[in-house]
Amino acid sequence: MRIRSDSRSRQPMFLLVCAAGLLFSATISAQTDAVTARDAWVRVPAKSKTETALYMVVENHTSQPRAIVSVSTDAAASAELHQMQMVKTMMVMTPVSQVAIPAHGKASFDPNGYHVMLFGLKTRPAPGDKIDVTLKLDDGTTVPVEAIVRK
Amino acid sequence: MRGWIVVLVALALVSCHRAELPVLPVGGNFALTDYNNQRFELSSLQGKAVLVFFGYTSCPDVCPTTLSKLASVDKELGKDASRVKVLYISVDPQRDTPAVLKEDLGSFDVDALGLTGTKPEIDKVVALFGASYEIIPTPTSAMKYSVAHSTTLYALDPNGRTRILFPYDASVDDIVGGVRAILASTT
Repeated sequence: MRIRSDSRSRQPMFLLVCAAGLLFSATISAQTDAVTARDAWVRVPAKSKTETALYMVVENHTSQPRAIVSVSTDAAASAELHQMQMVKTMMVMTPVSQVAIPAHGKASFDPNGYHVMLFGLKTRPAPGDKIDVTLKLDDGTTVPVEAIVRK
Repeated sequence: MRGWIVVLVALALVSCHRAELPVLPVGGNFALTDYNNQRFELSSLQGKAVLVFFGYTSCPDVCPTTLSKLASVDKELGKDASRVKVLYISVDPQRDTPAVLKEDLGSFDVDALGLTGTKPEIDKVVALFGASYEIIPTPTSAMKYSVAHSTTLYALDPNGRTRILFPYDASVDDIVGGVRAILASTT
């Protein structure tokens, strides 16, 4: 009797472990190829700085609009989505919460528009080095990006 | 108003390369601190054409783009480059100390002198050139604050008078042509 009751109480625990396992594998497999990045490059930081900008083209191969909501990297303390824009006669750089990628369209990150700012670079990148970053999309999937360092 | 001056000057340059360039009603002599921590006055550059712009070294796009473009201008000018000086005036004196300016400008292949000063000194020069800037707090970002700034490049003749205003998207050829016109009209 006692044994049965024990096995019943273990069942939910077993299911919980299974659910956690599924969730874990879902996180691992969240990487998508429905959205891809190309031509990614990072500007060599100015001599006194540990921050720099990353540029790339992100393409959405699906019929659903998507958005980049955050960026992460092991190469820097933090990574942020930023935008340069002309406001009246001034060029202003501000952080943005997301960057939209239209269905079957692209988001261009270039020196006159969006860029990813890397703050607190852990090592000083030289031309030719590679920096890996991960884009997180609004549906929870992730896009790996390999950027090359140039002047 | 300034946009019109840019357009008019650009048209004048296109229509007649050697036309007498107008003296524009912005600019004049000013004093700041250079990146060697020395007092600097514009009048000390008498005899050289001068390219002036405002920026800050934490700027990842506009300022490196302008400096790279000016390095190409210097290269195109060949031996005339020795008759031209670039002045980079920081509008972020809190972060851009003379030492920071010197270190960061050193990575560009251009004869540029970095200038800074107290906020009132910088504000005076900004007003003199009809430029503008604004400190924008960005509390959610690691950069803490951003500096919005006008991106005009001012071309001064060897007497320190402003002759051409180049917009941010002016090409290397536009700037080389303008500088040559300034040098030609004053020799």
